[in-house]
Amino acid sequence: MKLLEVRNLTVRFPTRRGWIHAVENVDFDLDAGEVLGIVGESGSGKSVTMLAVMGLLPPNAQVSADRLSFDGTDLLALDGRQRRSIMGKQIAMIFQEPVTRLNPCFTVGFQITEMLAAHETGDRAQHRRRAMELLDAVGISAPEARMRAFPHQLSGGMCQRVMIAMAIACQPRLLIADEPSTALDVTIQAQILDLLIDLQRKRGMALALISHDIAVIAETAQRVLVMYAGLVVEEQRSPQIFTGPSHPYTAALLRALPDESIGLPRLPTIPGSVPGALDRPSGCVFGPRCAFADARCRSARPELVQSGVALARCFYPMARPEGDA
Amino acid sequence: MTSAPDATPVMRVRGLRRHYPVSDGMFRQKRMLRAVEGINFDLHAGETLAVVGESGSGKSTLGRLCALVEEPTAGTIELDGADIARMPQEERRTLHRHVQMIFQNPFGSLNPRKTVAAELEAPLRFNTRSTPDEWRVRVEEMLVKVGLRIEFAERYPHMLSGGQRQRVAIARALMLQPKIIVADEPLSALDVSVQAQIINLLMDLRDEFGVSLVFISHDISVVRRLAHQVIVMYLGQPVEQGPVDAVLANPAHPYTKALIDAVPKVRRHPASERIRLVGDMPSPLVPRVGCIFSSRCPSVQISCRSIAPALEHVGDRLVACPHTMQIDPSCST
Repeated sequence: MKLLEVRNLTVRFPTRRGWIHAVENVDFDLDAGEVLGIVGESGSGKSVTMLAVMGLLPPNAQVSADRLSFDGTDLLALDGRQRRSIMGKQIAMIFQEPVTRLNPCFTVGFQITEMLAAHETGDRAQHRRRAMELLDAVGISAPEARMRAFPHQLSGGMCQRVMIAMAIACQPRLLIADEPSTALDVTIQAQILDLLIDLQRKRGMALALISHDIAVIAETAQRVLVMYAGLVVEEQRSPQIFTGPSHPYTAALLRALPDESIGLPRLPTIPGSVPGALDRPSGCVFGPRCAFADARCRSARPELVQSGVALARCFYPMARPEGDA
Repeated sequence: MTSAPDATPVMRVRGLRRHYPVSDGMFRQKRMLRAVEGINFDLHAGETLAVVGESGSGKSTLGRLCALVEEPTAGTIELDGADIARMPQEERRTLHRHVQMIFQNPFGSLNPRKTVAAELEAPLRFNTRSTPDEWRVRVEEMLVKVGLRIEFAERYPHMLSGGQRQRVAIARALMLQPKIIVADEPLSALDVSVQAQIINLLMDLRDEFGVSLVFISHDISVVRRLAHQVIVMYLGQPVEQGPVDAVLANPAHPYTKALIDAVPKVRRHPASERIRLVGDMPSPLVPRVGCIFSSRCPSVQISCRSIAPALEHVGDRLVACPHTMQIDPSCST
């Protein structure tokens, strides 16, 4: 069943030098209970896409979409009150750098119960009990003592656990995690990813995980969207996308991983750098960095089309390796 | 790759220690934060030493000690066989020519008001007796070496991408032809598709200039590509040290294994048994009894909580764990 449906989503911002298209023509669906990974470099539009779903973009952002619906409700047609009844309750989001996302002036317990008071029935004592259950569920030991802690008294990993506790407080059906482990150490990153996947399985919620790290996505996602310069360039199920990428950008990203070329004297690289929002090429956005680009790629922009089991925005999608299903 | 073992190392470090006094509150006793302790290594010409560990493990402090911008509390650092603590003042001042640094964030490490040319000239201006015409030539040579066009000399940092800025930072570090470059997480602030370019550049320049690298990183897969030796640090102390291939293919200390296992991989063997660490690194201020890793160690034993293990030779490496994990000789290279 389709939980989230996004069709032809475009987000643009006015600047002195004209409109900047942060995201263009993004289409995707998210089923209930599914883990979707969105991978892309900085400026690829992966966060803006999800902020548009949440309605958290700044007021000057112009969001347009043919369809942007959650569980059949059109998210673009909602007024503020209706939106607030869905956001935080049915769709929750966690962010990078959890320490800065929590209010430094209030205890962790206050911030979780505040969330419960806004969305749930019950009295203060019930909310407190529930908050302690939540802290326990996200693996925080001695929840009673931690309720009285201020964010600065907790480590980055603990703060992210508190953020996750707040996010799952109202049993959301969709959790959006925007680089949830990026500012954390690898050992803590592994703990947080394990926790997210564990909660997703136990509670049957859908999870949209955004990361710049293709390996993080490989370990967690069931389906992957690859974004580049504001566009979805490939969509494919995992792990097939990692054995048989369809778009040259996905393939190049995978080849550039240091572990993939052990024994070679040099790492295969992608020449150049990601184009800025104002200097995107008129043809294929990856064209100037692509090893296979020709005149057609420079003049026309490819559509996202079916190519075998994948969707790829490429005129010449890569063939799957022989004998791979 | 490595010079003969009897050659004098470019840098020899023995018993290096850096403690910071920390006072919490007016009337409380001063306590010692043991940021780095018990570091020994020899770094030969053209070799790369990687330092890995979580944040708070002391790896950046060690980098600053190696870059001579921080004074050690105890221990010796020798450059080309000369103990720097015993050098006359005049000679010490010239040491920074031999050791240069590259920082994590190329957005913060370049002066936004200086052009690339001014940034690259500065080391020559202050450390050599060359003329502005000579600076000009050297700057252009170096820009080409790090893969930038000569036009970049007149640009300001805000006109450059992250990868280009890091190339400028690398060029600046190379201007005085140092013997050692300390690179503190030089890839973390870069886009994924650009990281591989910078890794290749560092490897090329290392080979071309014969410079030694102290490479501080949390990224095990980059370390595996780039380094010859590795020191794994935990709470300021080395827990495992040795040749990169052997240590990373076949970790002996449970912390090394946990660190390797924590790195997400695109291809993971499904059968592999992963070690997952529980909890956070303890505070470096709390007095330690027994093994520093015992509070998080998955294979902790009763004796670990009372007896602190010493860093001892086990085969090809040094390990600070008496219950060393089985080293399978077939994996070792």
